Amino acid sequence: MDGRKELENIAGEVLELTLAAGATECEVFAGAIQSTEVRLFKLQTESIRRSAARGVGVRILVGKKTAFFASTDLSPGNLKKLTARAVKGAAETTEDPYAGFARQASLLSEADLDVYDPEMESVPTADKIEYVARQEKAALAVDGRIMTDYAMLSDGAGESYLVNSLGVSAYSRGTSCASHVRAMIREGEKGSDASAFRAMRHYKDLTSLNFGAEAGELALLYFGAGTSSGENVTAVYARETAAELLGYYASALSAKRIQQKTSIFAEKREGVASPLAYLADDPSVPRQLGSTNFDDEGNACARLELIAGGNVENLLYNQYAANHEGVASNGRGFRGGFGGTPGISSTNLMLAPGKISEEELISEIKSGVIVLETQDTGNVNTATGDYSVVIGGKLIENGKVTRPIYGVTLAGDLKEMLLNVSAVADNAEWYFGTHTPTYAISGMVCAG
Amino acid sequence: MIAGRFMQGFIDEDILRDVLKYCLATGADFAEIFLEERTATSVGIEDGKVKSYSLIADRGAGIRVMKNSVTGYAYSDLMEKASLMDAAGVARTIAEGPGPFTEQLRFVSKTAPPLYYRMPVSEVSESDRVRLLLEGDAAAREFSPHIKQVYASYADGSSRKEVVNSRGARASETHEGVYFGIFVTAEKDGLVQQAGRQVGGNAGFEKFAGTPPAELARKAAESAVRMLGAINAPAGKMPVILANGEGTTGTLIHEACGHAMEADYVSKGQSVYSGKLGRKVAHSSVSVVDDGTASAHAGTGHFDDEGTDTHRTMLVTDGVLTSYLCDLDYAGKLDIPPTGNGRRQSYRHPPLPRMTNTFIAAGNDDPEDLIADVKRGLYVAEMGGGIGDVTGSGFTFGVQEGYLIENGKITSPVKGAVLTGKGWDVLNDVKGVGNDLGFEPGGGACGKMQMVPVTTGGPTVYLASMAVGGTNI
Repeated sequence: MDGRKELENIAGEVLELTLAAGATECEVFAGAIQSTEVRLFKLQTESIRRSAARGVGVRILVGKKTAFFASTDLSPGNLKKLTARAVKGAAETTEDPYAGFARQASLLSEADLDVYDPEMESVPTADKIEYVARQEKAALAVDGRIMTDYAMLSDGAGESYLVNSLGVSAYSRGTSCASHVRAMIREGEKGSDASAFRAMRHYKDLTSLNFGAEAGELALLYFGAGTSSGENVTAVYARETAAELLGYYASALSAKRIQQKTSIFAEKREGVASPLAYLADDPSVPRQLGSTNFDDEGNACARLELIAGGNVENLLYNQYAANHEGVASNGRGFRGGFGGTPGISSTNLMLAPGKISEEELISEIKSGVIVLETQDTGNVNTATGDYSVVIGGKLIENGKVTRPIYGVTLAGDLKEMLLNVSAVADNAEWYFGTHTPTYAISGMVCAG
Repeated sequence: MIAGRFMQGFIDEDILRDVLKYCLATGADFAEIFLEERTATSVGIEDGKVKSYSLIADRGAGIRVMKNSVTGYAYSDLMEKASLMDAAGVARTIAEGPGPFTEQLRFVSKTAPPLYYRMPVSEVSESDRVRLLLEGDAAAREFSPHIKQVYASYADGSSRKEVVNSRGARASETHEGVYFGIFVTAEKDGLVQQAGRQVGGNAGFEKFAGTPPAELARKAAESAVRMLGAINAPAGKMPVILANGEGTTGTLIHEACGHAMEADYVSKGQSVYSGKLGRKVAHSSVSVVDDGTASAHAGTGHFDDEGTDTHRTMLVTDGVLTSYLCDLDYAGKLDIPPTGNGRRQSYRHPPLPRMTNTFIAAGNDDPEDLIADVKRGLYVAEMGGGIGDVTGSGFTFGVQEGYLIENGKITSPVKGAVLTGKGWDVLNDVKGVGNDLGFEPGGGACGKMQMVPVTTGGPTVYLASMAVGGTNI
């Protein structure tokens, strides 16, 4: 994918057009994506989908009033219409003293983070089908009763060119690919299902993994699994669930949410975590899903310590949140493509590993659960601290893993949970842009 | 159906014909072009400031080619012949075979009559939009000094769709839609609670006359403040009463059973309802309906996104499974008539069997009697998000607003309740169905790899026993 010049031209033209239409400041995010998805059912190709889109997302300021528009229709007629409406629409909004775009791209590093795989777009479809079929086969091979819901691989490349009227410009390009297998068992009215997936930046990194059997193993584990109830339960988060829980804390570290008092860290940021919890956010690690030198507003980003020594050390900022406090942004303003405006998110979260093995960690637990899967139904609230998820996993009784469980509600309070990180193992690995070991949180409640 | 002049298509009919023939030229047995033009305007209010004025405009065409059970799909953001042919070239690679398509392609065209919008989106001014936000914000804040944060958003849009396929069908329809949502945060003595309400549908601005945003805002504020006094939800198996309409019974039926009645899961043998047409699957007081023809709701249309007329489909009639929800492909595979449930998020997505407006039909019981029958249980006034059950492995929903029922009376608000269970059990454990059918105000959407707007509804429903997850064992 090499449309840098084209995107640069588009962005420049749209910037000019928008300023001419009456915007006083303007930011244009021109993006292009292309992706392919191959989906199998019962080892046969079920569908092949190809997506390609190119468009712009434009933020404007008219004085201190803002508006946004996005379109894939880049014809001059359409753009003129949209810019005129956006300028008019901005007039209806309230003046916002904190609105404003990145002022200068002070890139701390131009390091090549190796997030673009140039070979990805020429991988033959037949190769992708073969890889997915292999993963599906592995899932099916676990037990004769296993069916697969689907097995798929999607890969894509994206590039973007950002320019604003304050002189900031930034280009970036990246690839990613993911494979996903969902397995199930159904006997009469009883059933179970489970997923396994992997995501990487480079195609060969993905296809060097053989993970399909996991889906089958988990579906089998959950089939006929019982439930469990108890108070003062220690929850052991491992792999993807460990990464997912860290993500909730990261979202509560958004400076905007602290300012709006819709975060568990709004009132208190000292003495809020176990000393065992050392959490950082590091965009400079090569080849990871969150790796980048700057955010989607053109602000540079570097490694940040988030939680250390029991305290919150840093919050995550986009330009708006930074303007709100009169500080510099630390480059965490990301959008999900050109169709949206920059929110706040972390890059690559990293929880520091501890010194004990996962086996030792488990052997110390009297009453606990290993959390292998969580279903979040909106009862995890990073403003109130409410945490209630339905889990699948295994029971720990007197230091031993005894039986599988499924459909059990695990509940607690996010504030207490962070203080109750009681053990951290030494087995840190990457899961979708989060590097985490297995860790244990005491004092939770199970119901089922 | 109206037989009248077909409205001006996006692109010349001959070009569509050429593209379809090109799709079929390598041996495929079905091809479809879906063209769409959409615009949406939205604006929000946060911290008392009107902001986030946003316009999205998109147009393009999605091309689908099928041979046997394999689908190829590609789309183009340009509605010109060259781009459509490009996309067609990609989509048809799933079929490799001899012979160009030689038959004549003749279209039978139909246009949906315009739905009557008393105040269409094109007549809505920027200040109209902002006025709703300001009214909602003021109403929420005025309700109580404990309301600390109010976030509201308004959106409206229109979309014009045209679909044509190699079986000769050609249909076009224009939709308009409106949406208002409000989300508040209440705080008292360090305790924080949040609540949200929304309204929306396939309607014009007049939708808000029936459900004024200020009233929704008050309800949200009232809910959040009331939940400040909530105790931790109990945990265990207990009777559960779901309030009517308002995102409770409806959410349950959609998540616990609706997805499992979608024909793709059924056909693949993945659903608990596979192979059970004509069999009893629920208590005889239960009838489940999916109605794409119901007026002004989010899932409504004259046609689905494959050009099939929408239907009022009886999924379950007096406890017996009487239909599935089908798109063209799976109707064929299951050998049942299409039900008009082939829907897609946009031209960038292929259609799938999807729900439209799904509800449990009204029963005969007085809701007050149902509540009075419960010694100790849970009353669900408002559901949170959920994850559906297809295979029988179970569903999960969060309860946004719940209350204890003690000795036949609704008592303390409870927080953090999660409902789990199996869809099959839920329909069979029904102990009473109220006579008070209601629909949620709308604005919701369903995600199944792609989002489509849907509505749900139902009467008050009494479930004999359900697993409630809370922190109070």
